[in-house]
Amino acid sequence: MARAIRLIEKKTQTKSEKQTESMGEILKVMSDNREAITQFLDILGELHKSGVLDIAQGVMKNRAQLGAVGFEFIKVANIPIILKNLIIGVQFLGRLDPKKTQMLMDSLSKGIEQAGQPDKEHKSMFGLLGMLRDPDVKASVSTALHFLQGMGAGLSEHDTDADKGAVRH
Amino acid sequence: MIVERVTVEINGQEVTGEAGQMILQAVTEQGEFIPSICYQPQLGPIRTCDTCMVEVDGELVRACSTPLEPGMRVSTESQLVKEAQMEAMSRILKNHELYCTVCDNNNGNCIVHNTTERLEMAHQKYEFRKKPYEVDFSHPFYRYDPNQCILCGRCVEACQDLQVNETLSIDWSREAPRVIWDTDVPADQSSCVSCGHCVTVCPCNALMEKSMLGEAGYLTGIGANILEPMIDLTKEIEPGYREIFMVSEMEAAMRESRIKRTKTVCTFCGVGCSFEVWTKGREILKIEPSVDAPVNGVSTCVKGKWGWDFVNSEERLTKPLIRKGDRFVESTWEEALDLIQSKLGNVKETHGPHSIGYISSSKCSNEENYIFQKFARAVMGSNNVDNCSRYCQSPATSGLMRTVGMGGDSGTMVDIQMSELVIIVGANPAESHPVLATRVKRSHKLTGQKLVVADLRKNEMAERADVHLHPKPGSDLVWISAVTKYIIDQGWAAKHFLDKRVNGYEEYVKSLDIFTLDYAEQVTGLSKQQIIGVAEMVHESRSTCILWAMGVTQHMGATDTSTAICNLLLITGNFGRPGTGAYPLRGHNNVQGACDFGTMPSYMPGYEKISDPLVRTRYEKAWGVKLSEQAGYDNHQMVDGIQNGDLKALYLYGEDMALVDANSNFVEEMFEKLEFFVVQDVFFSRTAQYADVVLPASPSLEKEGTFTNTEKRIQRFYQVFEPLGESKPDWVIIQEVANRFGAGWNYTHPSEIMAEAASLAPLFSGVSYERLEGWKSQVWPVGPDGAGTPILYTDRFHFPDGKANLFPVKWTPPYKPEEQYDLHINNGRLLEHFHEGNLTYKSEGIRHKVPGTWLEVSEELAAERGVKDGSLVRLVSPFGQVKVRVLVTDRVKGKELYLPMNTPDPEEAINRLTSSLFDIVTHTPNYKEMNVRMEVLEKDGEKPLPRVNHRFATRNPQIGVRVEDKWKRPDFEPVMDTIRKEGEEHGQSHSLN
Repeated sequence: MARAIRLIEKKTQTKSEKQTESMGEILKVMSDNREAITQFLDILGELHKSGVLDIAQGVMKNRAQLGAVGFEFIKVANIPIILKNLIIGVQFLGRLDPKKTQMLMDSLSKGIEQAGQPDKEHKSMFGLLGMLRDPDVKASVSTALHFLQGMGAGLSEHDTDADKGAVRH
Repeated sequence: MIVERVTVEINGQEVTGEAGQMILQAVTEQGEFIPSICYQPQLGPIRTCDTCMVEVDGELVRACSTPLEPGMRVSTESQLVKEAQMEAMSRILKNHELYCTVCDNNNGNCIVHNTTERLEMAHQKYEFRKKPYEVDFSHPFYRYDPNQCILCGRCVEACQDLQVNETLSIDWSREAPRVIWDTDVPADQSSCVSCGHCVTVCPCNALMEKSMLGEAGYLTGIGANILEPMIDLTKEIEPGYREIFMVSEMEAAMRESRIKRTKTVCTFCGVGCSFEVWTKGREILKIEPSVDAPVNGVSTCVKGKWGWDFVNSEERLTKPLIRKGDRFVESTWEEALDLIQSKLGNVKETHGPHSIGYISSSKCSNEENYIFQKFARAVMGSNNVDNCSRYCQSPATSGLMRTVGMGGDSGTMVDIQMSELVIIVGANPAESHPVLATRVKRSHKLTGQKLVVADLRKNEMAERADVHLHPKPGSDLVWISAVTKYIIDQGWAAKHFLDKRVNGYEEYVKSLDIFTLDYAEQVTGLSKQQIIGVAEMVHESRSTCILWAMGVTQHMGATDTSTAICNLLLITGNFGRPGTGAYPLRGHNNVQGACDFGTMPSYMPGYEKISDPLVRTRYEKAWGVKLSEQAGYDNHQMVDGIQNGDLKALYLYGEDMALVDANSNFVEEMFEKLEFFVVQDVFFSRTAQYADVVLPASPSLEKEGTFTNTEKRIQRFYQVFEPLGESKPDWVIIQEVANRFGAGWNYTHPSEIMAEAASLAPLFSGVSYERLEGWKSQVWPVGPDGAGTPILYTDRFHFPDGKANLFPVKWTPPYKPEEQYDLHINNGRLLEHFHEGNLTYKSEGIRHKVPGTWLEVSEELAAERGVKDGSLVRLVSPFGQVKVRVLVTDRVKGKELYLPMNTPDPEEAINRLTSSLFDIVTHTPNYKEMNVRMEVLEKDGEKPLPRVNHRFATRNPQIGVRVEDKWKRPDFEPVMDTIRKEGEEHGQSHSLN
């Protein structure tokens, strides 16, 4: 005869049994990764000595409030604008043709070199105008003028768009 | 079927497609991309999003809903198309804030995200505006955020026309339209049946599984006080969408390693839905259905979508238990197996191999059933092996075998869906086979499929039916035979079909003499007109499917009624063609497979008779043993065997027989008499309480295998989790037990078991794990080349001469106890719970909707007996009694009661009332034949079903999302008009050529 029974006697692990089991598992993982762990502990020690851990602890423990304050700070300190400018700046750099940049930069450094050399004689107004005949100077000035022209075109295009009030993509 | 081909020009290339095919499909098949947000293959064109605009002969049209026409010139790349798609997308993003990196839906499959990205949209044209509504968090399983809702209407289409529960709609008449539930009530209080369709098809994060929120992403668990400023900051500094998308892409890629996606097959009914389970560690994030799933596509029901919490339940068995005195003691596997070896071995030694019974599980895999019967037969030398199909579907199988030769559905759900007439007898698929029911409901609603339902209750299908028949209990055979006779008498029989393909016509016609309209009217209580009406419907339909389940099979005349159904289908030629056939709806996920793979006392795998020496020889050679030719005991005979002392021990797995066998008081008494009882289960079931050893098994999510659904479709499921604790997959346990008895098996993976079964059973010869990989499936019989058979009997019936048999049957009047038991007690399933409830009651959300069972009492009877919602009554039958709370409803009539079977509490269990009587052919209990008397214990009490259950709400039916109402809004402007206007403002004009 086997009556229905509901009682189940569970072998419950005692706290210390559970602890011993977990310790065993942890020790195994540690010994498998002995070198990495030793090095990591060394770094941890340094971080502790230098006080970095203290700061990190403070930040983590108060992350919710800090986060909120952080975003408030970002707003007050106009950081979105800085970030936006940064992104636009980066995008600008991304659009430049590296070859042309290289050429301009090379020329710039030559220019700086030249500019750094002391004038042999004091140039008169005519002397300066005379320099425009120098082919190198001419090239430089015409590049600058082209740049201004292009920028001007860009500015006026922007004005027209703004007048229309619709940005089309 | 011959498909007409048409040639069109797409982007200058000549392309051939099917006539009637939409441009979107034709272009997608070419590997080209057209954005499409509201279009979903299963839902069809919805036409709300306008992102799929293409140019056809100079005009803008929607690719999703414009069919190919010969010679049409399509451009998907013109400037006009690009501008139209951008305009459409901008309109969508006006309703949707892109904070993808911190959104739980950013898992690589967000359609709004992916489309915005594919369109290379850089900035937003229209500013995002919140809608003036709160987020609806009321429902236990999902939440709706109107602010993120793009109003594409996918959810509405899915609810109205795919699931056909008709709860959701978009109220286009409001200033700010939104999705509403019924007449705008909180989701939890609506008619929503929690099927999950809407959440699954939502192309963004507007409808989300609550289990995903704060869990899926790395940053999504952040509190609102940080999240909101973070979103604001991102928006403020945003360089453009493309850069944001890169960040979100990286984050989505990081999620891939921590969210595991595993395909599985649902275990909550016989429909066989498959889907992915998304998990993080042991936590289920969500169930994600896929259009690739062969049975269900994106469809699920409440159990399949949300009912899996049991896997991590604290109550799971994790160690073997051994009975010691008045308690069970946890033991090691060694101890448990030692005990089984010695005790079971001892019984076998002392009383012979036939003194042990083996009860297999219709919830476990084909492979597990195969090796369990192999264990019983080859290792233990007994054919005493059976499964729970004995409680439900054996009579249907017998009826089919008598007439057409194969014990399974004659076609697939595709046939049911396309049939012109569906007749449902004694089945409630809307609750018991919910996803299958959706296909009928959809065809009935949209394509004019006719529906006849014969049931005692006005269940959902009956409510929707063109004709609801309410015959007297147990009289189905009579009206079905009367319909058949009337059809023959009118000369409507399918003569050509009968002449060529069917035996026994003359004799059968003679046997129908008694089933006159007068006789049928008198026995069934149906009117002659009703019977003639059904006959006319069958006659007028070019294709008819008949679906039946336990309302037919759990009677004393069950096999005969199943036979009568097959006879009707034969007489009218409704076999062997698309859209026709007989469909016994299998209840459990693997009832079909358990029988297919041989856990039956007289059949080897693949329905080959154990009595056939050729069959035995084949298995004897392969297994290297001598097999017993003596047919074994079925479940019912096993219980009787215990009573008369023949059966001394039982090994049962995955079945709560103490609750689900009829006359459970008697069954429990018999269990007490066993010398030794092994129970293997996921939970400590009612049956386990009688065991000597309880073995902890792993459910489907913790193992691999295959299941066979009601269509005879074999599908693979993959392992999601490691087995919990020390539990093990059933096939592993069975092998370990078998090896204790010298089997010497070494199966390392279920695929090896399937390979063996396929090599021995001709029915499955081409079945293999490779051919079943991922979403692939095979419908048996499967030939050696792997080709399945979705429609049976197209050329021949499964008999030596290839002809079907008309099989004369007589009506067996149902059991009726004496007069004092004056109320008929009907029973069956609930949508929300599975079986005795060991699994689904573990889900808090499901309990919130349905905390327990109840007794349905008609309004008339309630008035007569002075009971109301919440009254406590005792029901008494000659076999036992239960105590339940009342729910008064018009679903039942007069003196007919309904008690759902889904309760783990024996005090409320229907089988305390049922008898040990059974179907005369198959020994399936006559669960549906019982009368009781009712005693009122308490007049007042709490309603057993909470107000938040869908049964109390009123649906809001309409066809689809009603996009025309959107177009009629004063603020709606067709995309084309907007572009033209803006073009003119810019001084440009779009050339239309």
